[in-house]
Amino acid sequence: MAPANFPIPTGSLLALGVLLFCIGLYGALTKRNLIIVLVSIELMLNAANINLVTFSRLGVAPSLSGQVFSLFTITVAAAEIAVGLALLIAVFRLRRTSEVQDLNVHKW
Amino acid sequence: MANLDMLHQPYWSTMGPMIVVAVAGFVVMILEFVFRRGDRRWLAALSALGVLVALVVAFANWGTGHQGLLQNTVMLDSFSSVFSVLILISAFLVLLLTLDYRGRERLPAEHTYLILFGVVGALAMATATDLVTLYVGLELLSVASYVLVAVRKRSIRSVEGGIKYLLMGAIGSAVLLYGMSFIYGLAGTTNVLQLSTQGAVMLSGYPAITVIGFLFMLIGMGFKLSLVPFHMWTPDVYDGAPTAISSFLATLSKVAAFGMLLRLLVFIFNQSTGPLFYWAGIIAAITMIVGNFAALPQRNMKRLLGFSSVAQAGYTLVPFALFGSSQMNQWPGLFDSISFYLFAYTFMTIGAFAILHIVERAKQSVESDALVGLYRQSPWLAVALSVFVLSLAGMPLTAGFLGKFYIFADTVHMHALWLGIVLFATSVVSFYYYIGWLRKVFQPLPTGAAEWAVAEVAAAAGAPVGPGQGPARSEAGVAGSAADGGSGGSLAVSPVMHVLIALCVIGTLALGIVPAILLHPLGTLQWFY
Amino acid sequence: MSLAFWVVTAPLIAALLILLLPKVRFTAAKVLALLGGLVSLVLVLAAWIGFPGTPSLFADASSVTWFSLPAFWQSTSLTVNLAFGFDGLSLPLAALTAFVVCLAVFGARGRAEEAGDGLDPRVAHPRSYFFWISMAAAGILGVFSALDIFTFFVALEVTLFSSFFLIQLFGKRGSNRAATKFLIYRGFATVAMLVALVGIAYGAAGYFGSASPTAITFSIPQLLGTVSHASAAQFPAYYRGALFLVLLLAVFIEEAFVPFHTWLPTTHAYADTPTNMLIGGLLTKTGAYVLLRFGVGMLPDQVHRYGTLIAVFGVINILYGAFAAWAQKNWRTLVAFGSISHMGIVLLGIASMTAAGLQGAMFMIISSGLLTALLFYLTGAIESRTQTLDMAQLGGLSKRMPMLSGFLLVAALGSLGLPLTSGFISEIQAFIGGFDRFPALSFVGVVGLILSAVYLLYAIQKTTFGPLRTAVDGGPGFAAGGGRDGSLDATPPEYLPTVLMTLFVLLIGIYPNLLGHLFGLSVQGLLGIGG
Repeated sequence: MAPANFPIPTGSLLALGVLLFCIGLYGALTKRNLIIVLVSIELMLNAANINLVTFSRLGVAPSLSGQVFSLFTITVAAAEIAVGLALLIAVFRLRRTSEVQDLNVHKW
Repeated sequence: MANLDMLHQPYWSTMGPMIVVAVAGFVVMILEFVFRRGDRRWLAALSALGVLVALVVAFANWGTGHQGLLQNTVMLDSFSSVFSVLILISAFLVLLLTLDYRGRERLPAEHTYLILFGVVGALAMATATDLVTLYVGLELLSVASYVLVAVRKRSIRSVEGGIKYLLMGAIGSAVLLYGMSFIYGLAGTTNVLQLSTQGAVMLSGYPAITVIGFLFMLIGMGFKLSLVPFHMWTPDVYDGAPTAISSFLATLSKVAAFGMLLRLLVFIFNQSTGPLFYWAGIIAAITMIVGNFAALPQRNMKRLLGFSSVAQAGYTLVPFALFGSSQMNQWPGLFDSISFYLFAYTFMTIGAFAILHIVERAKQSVESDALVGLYRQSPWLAVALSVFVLSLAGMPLTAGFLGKFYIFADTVHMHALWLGIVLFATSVVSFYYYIGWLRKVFQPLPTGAAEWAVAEVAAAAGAPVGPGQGPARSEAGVAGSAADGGSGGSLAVSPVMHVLIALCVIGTLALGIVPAILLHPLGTLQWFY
Repeated sequence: MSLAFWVVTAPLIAALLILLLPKVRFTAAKVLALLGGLVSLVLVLAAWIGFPGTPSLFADASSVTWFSLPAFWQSTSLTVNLAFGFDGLSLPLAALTAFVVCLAVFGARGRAEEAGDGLDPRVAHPRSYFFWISMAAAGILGVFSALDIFTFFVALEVTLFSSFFLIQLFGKRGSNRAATKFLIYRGFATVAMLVALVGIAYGAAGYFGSASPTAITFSIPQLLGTVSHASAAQFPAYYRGALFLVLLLAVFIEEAFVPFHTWLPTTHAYADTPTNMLIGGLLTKTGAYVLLRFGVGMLPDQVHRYGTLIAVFGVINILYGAFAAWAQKNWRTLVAFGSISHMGIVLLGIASMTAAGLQGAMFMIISSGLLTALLFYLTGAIESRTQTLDMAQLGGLSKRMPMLSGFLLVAALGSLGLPLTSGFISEIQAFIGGFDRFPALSFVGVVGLILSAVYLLYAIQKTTFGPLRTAVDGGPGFAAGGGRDGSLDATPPEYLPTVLMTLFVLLIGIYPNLLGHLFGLSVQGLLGIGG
């Protein structure tokens, strides 16, 4: 399926994506510091980007739209993380903390 | 040159609502920078006007067949018409609700154009037929919502709600995007219309990856729709956000997410992928059960509405789960039932939030005990709240019942009676907590707790005369002034709120008593082409 | 629009008028509600006179398309109609409803003076009070005359929440919990009923069977014709049984059968007199009606199959109701448990699936409706004088209120089934049917009849005769409730409902053919005899 002149097999690239996604998900669910959590989410998004770019070159039916998609994704992710950091600063101002477990004003 | 031809396409009619709302958003944003002082609620009124114009355009587009443009990345069809109208109606109602924020509890004026941009994103989710456009629309709505939840940056509840929503929403969209990337990889196109012919091919060629793609997309949307087990942010966020924003998240954002869910999964996986939708059925059942049971012990009304909206998402997911096991010619019924339920849900939920907002301001509390004595204080509000609550619980002659009945009929038709039974069994559970509200509403105030009456006298006399209230009621005499903390407040309701609540009551009752006004237009629509 | 349609809408129009007209006072609202009830009553009687007298035919039927769920099944739509009409079973029930509603409204009055807990809500909010009474009346009439499953269900839910509001807003202090209990129990029952009825409609159209499905209808007359004849391939017995059991569960809760009965005594203890008349006299009869209409009418094979189960429940109810009533210290809960005992007899009659048994069950529904309403009216009148219905505090009523006690005695005698009262004709027929099929069970059930004589006469003896007690003589309510001339007996306006209801109790007992003719037709239709 992959073009003969491309040195890296498709499976390896997808495996990289899976690894990044899993690391990101693990980090997002377990890490205590908000910044690390945001970084982990960024990893998950980048896993998707690697997938998109891989498929746009090595997919079943390669096309350019995967790369276009990943450009949009990068932009959107930047916006999302920017808002995330702004909220983090707002929390830090009010609570002097950036730990996840300190976000506990909402009780059951 | 195909690209030049695009310029001659009739954007105005097709993307009209989106363009109008976007223009309104920019105008309001600029005006907000120009007029920095004074009461800027007229900006919200202007936004509501813009939404109303967009609504007119959307109505003009209703049932005009189908038309794709920008190389079929945006589609004007029955599906987009119904969801656009629904989104714009809820946007209008939410903007009316924000008009009532004033005095101390005033929202920063940024919220108006953030809402408008969120609406643009929601409209994109309803009309787009390309994975890229859908994703961008979703993110536009989501990012606007994160900020809106945290719009009161001095309130720790609000900011914490915002950051929780952001983390959960970002994880959800990452999962969604990851699922999308697999679907793109298998089909080589991001266009939903082209994908729609390939669902079966993908499933037979690469079953594992297709299933992963489907489930990841379902889970990603599940975060947005607050389906169990991805729902835990919902009560916290609804509780933390200002009530108007909570109603925005509960209605508009969910409607748009449902539109996107249908567009993505039904349009792509429409053939011989029945077993995949079975998972959606299981998620729907779990969502209905957990949502309703988790609501039982809640005393905070906003959290309760949060769990209730989880349960309502479960009800709406039931017809979605039936897509897999039904024939193409049965789909219009499923689309109709989902649309009808979402219309009903919009009216009753926004109405309930509006009354909650009034009570919250008067009593400085969202505990359900704040409802005690509402009937004595204002029979009209009490009756309106009863209508909304009965509709949410699913009593006949209200929109909520008919929506549930329609969904139940779907389940019998598609031989999935177990889902219908779960639906009605869990709505009996929901009786309990909704009726708990009604009990409080009609309970007389306990003797000695006549704060409301006192405050009302104070407001009527135009002078701060409450016992132990001190001289400093800065805004006393202004009808409907924000209450000073702790001493109770008046239940004065502004005309805008009367209009809003009346609209919601009319919507809820009209859809319940003469459902033909909506069922007939829905029935004449061509859902497919 | 047929008579049946206007029978249902008359109270509805009255309710809307009360709601919409500004500044309606207590008397004006009462007159409007009464007018609505009277118009219904007159129209029902007109329908009765013009009733054609053929079995299993719905007279005065009218049907308007309400809405249709579009493009549903292979491009046919599911049409829901607003349909009303009468047959031999529903006509007497509708007449009873209109009659009791008129008397309940006529008997409705509020305490003018302020008591310890503030102004009487009935006086403070007369519009809302009579609005909900009229809504409840329209709902009950709708339940009995609906010819479409959806219409039926909507009417049932209207009764549900209008009664809820009547208990909640106008009940005694602390009625909150009772109202919630009422709503939860009956809400569950109505949902179960909806599932069962919609299931039956779909089953009749063949959705559960192996044959290819036909067009679905919610029309009750059509379903009555098709469901019982549906072949096994079309409507498998497994589904019929399951749906029937769901229906039975719903009926048991609606009727307050043991062990689902706990909502009834609390409701009666907290509701005011007109509400009690509506709930005790009419609303608890809807369950029996459902069992006759949908159980016997549509799934007779299942009634046969589960006959023993139903009969056992019936006997348990007869005995439990009687024993529990015996143990009561309060007249009102005594009446409530007595009506549970009555409904046990209805179950026994239905379970027998014989002409006599079914006819007895129908008679019992009417008779129990009249007697329960009468007893609630009388006890309400007594309570307004004595401020209590606790038997320990009552005594020697006959000295102070001879007429009221006299009527109380007649009602009690009717309730225990004395010959020449409506209770007798009902019980004898139900038990004839019962002995036919379940001799042993019926024998046990007859013990319940003896018990009912014991508890009723015991209560009468304790309260109307014997020495005067403080509550009756010089108690707190003495001055407040006393008539102009110091007498505590019934006032002229109070005579009217009492006399009318007693008259009908006796009339049905003496000349049962008044109803027997109609019920006979209906039984013929149900059992497939004649017609």
